[in-house]
Amino acid sequence: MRDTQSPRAPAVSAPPPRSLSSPPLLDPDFLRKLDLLEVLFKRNVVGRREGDRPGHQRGGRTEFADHREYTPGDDLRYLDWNLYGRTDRLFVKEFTKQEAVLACVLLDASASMGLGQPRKLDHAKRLAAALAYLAGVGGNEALLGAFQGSSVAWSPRFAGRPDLQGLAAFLEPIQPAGPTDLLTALRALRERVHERSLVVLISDLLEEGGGRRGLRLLGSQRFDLSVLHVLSPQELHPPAIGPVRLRDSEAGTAEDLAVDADALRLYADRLNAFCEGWRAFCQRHDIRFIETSSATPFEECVLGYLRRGGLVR
Amino acid sequence: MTLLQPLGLLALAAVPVLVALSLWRWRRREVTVSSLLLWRDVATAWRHAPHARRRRQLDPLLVLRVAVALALAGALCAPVLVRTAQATRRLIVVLDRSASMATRRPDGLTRWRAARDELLKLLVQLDAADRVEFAAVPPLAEQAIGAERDPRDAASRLLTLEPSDAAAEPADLRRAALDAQARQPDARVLVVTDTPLPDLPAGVGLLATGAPARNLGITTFAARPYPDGRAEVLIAVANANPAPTAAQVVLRADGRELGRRRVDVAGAATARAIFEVRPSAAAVLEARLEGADDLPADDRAWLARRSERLRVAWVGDECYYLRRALAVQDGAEVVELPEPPEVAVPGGFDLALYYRAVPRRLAAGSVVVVAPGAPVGALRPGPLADAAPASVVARRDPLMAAVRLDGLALGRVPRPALPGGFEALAAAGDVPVIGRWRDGAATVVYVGVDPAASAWPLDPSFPIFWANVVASAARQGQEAGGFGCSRPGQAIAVRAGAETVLTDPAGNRHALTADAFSPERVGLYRVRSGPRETPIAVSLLSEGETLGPAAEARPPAAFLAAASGTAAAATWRLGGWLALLGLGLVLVHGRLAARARPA
Repeated sequence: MRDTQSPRAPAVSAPPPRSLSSPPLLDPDFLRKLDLLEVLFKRNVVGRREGDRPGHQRGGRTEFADHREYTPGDDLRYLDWNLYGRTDRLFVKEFTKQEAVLACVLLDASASMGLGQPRKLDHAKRLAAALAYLAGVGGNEALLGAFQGSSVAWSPRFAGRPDLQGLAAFLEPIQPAGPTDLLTALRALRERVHERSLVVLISDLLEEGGGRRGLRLLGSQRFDLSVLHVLSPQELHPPAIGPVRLRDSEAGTAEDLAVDADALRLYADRLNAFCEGWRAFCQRHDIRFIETSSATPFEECVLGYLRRGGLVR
Repeated sequence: MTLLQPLGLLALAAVPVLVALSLWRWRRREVTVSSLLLWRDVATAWRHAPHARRRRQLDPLLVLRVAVALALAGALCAPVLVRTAQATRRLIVVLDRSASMATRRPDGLTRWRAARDELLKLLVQLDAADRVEFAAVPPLAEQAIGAERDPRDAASRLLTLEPSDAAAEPADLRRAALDAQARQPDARVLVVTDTPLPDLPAGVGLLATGAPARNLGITTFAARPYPDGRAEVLIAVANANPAPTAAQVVLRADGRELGRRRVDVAGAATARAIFEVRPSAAAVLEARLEGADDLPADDRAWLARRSERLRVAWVGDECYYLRRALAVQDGAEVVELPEPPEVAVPGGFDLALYYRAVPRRLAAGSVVVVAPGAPVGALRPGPLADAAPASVVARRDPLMAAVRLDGLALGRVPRPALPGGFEALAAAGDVPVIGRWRDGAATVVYVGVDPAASAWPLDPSFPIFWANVVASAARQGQEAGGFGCSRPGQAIAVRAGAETVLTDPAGNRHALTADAFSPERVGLYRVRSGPRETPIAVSLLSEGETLGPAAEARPPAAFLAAASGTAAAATWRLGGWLALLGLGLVLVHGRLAARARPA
C-alpha cells in the first residue's frame, strides 16, 4: 500500500493560483444554509471519541438509557434511590455513551476529473468541502482523501466546527492527474480508518471494475458507504462532432470513429447501462448512490440531490 | 454576366486553402475524453459498420466555408448581370471614289467593283434594324448619301455609285473616317479604299481592294505660249508598272494632231516629253497616250485657253498696300463686296480675299484670309505679340517663290491655334505667319501679318508674294491668255446667266443655275452663255492616282464580327446580394460551429 501520509501534500506539484473567476469552496451564505443540515449516519457507524452523537455502548454520564437490577459490584453511585423508596428494590441507572463518528470523503483526483465544462474536479472539491463541513458542524470528525493513481493524499482529521482555511488549504491545490484506481484508494482508506465510519466516494467511476470490489470490501466491514457519481454535461450529452480520434485522458489510448447520430445513440445506451449497473450494485450492497452533473448548481446539488439521496437532512 | 472587378477572382484561391485546412483538420482532429470506457463499444460498432458509413462524410461546416468564400469572392468581383438585346448596329462606310478605284485588276474587275462586291456581302449579313451610312471621298454632289438607310436600301444605293475621276489623298480618307467616328461614336466605321492606310484609328476597319496595276498615265500637262504664236508643251508620263514601258504620246490642238512622240518610261518612274508647237489660236490642247491600260482616266489630258480676266472678290476693310499689290497683277479684276464681312462670296470669282474679316462659309476654290480677327474654320488667331524676325519655311512652294523674308520685322502678329493639315509657309520665330490648309473644297491661305500695321509692304517680297497668290489661284482656273485646266472634283466658278448651258465630255447638256459646278469626269466641258462658248478643261494629272501604291486586298470579316453589337436591356448588380448571402452563411456557420464544438 502506497499511502501518502503527509496531510499537506496532495498529489500536485505546483498548484496554480486561484483565478479570480473561480468560486470559493464554500461561501458564507451557503455556509449558513449548511448549518441547518446534518450528515445522516447509519446506525452501524461507531465513533471512537466521545462526542455529541448517542452511541451503542453503555457508559457516560448524561444520556439515560435504562434501569437494571442491582448486582453486587455495581457502582453504588448509580443506584436509583427514588425507585428503591417506591418499590423497596435496588435498581441501578444505565447511561448511553455519546460518541463522535468519522466521515471520510474520498475524492477522485484522476486526470479524467479534470475534463468537462465545468470541470468535474471543481464540482467534486466543493462537494467534499461541504460534506466535511457538515460532519464537523454535527460534532463529528471529517477526513478527506484525494487519490490519483495508486497514491492517496490525506487531510488531517477535522473535528468540531471545521477550519475552512484548513479545508481550502487541502483541497485547492489538488490538480487532476494520473489514472483512476478506486480499489487502491478504498484499500488505503481501510488501512487508515479503523472504526466503522461514513465513507463518501466522489468520482466519475470511469474505471474498470476495481471500485466495486473495494466498496464490497468496505461494506463487508460495515462501513456506511455513499457514492457521488459526477459526470460532465459533455459526457452526458456529447455533441456530434463527426470523424475524430478520441484519446483516453488517463490511459492515452485512442480510438478512431465518427461521432454521428448513430454513434451518439449507441453511446447513450452504453452510458445508461453503465449508470444502471452502478445503481444496481449500490442498491444491492446498501450503498447510497447519488448521480450529479458538474453543471448542476452547487446549492441545488447539496440541498437537493444529497438530501434526496439520504446523505444529509 | 460581366465582372467589374475581375481581380476579385483571386479570392477564389481561398477555396483550395479551406479544403486543404479542412482535410488537415480531419486527419489531425483529436478529442480527449475522460475515458474510452464508454466509447469503446461505440468505436467497435463503428469499425464493424458497413463501409459506406465509415466513409468520410462531407463536413457541412466545410461546405458552408466554401460557400462563404465563393459568395465573398463573387461579391468582390462585383458581377453585373446584363440581359442583352440585339441592338441597332450603325455602320458608316467611307467610300474612296477616287480615280484609281476604276483601275482594272488582274481578275478583270475594277477595284471599285471588287470593293462593292465585298461590301454587298457585308451588307447582306446585317439585320434589317441596322443602319448604314455612306460617306464618299471625294464627296458626291448630292448630300443624300450621308443619310442613314437600312442595309437593303444601302445595297441598292451602292449599286448606283461609281468612282469619279477625281484624286483623293490618304489624309482625306483618314479625316473622313475620323469625322464619321466623331459624329456617331457608337457606329463602326469602315473605309473602303485601294490606298494603304496604315495609321487608321482604333475602331475603324479597312476594306482594301487594291492590286498591282499595269498603268501609264499623264501626270503633267502644261503649255507655255510665246508671243510669236509658238508654245512649249510639257507632258510627263508616269509608269506604275515595275518594268520599263514605252508609250506613244500624241498632242492635238482643237482635234488637229500637232505632234507624236515615243516616250520610254522606266519602271515606277516618270518621263517627260516636250513639244514645241504652234497651236495658233487653238482653244484646246489635248494630250493622249495611245494603247489601253488598267486606268483610262489618266490616259488623256486637256488644256483650255482662257480669255477672261481673273476675278478677285475682296471682303473687309480697305487696305491701300494690298489693293496696290493686287492691282499691279496683270489681268486680275478686284471686286469689292459690301459689308458685313461675314457675307458669303458668291460664285464666279477665282479668288476670295478677306481682309480683317472672317468668312461665314468658305467658298469653293482659293480663299485668302489676311489678319482675321476671329476663327476661320478650325484656325483660331491668338492675341497679338511682337514678332520675331521672319523667315520662309517652304521655299519651294509656288506661293513663296522668290519671296525673301530673312530678318524682316513684321510688327505684331498673333500666335494662332492651327487646324489639322496646316502647312506653314513662313514663320516669325516659331509663330507661323503665312500658311495654307484645305477646308472642304476650299484651299485657304492664311496671312497673319496685317499689311496696314507692318513694314512688310515696303519690302520687295510683298508684291512678289501677292503675285504668287494670284498666279496660284489662276492655275486652278485657266490663266488669262494662256492654257490651264481644272481637276475633277474641284469647284469651277462660272458666270451663270439666264440661259447658261453646260455640255459635259459625253455631250450631255445641263442647264447651269449655280455660279459653280464640280466636274466628276475628266474631259472637255463647254459652257455656253448666249452666243459665247467657253471651253473648260478638266484633267486628272495626279501622280498619286497614277502611281499610288495599292493596298493589298483584305476582306472585312473580322470587322463585321467586331461590329456585331448588343445593348443592355436590363442590368442587375449582384455584388451586394452576394455579400449579404456571405454574411448570412457566416452566421449559420457560427451557429453550427458552436453546436459542433467538441467537449
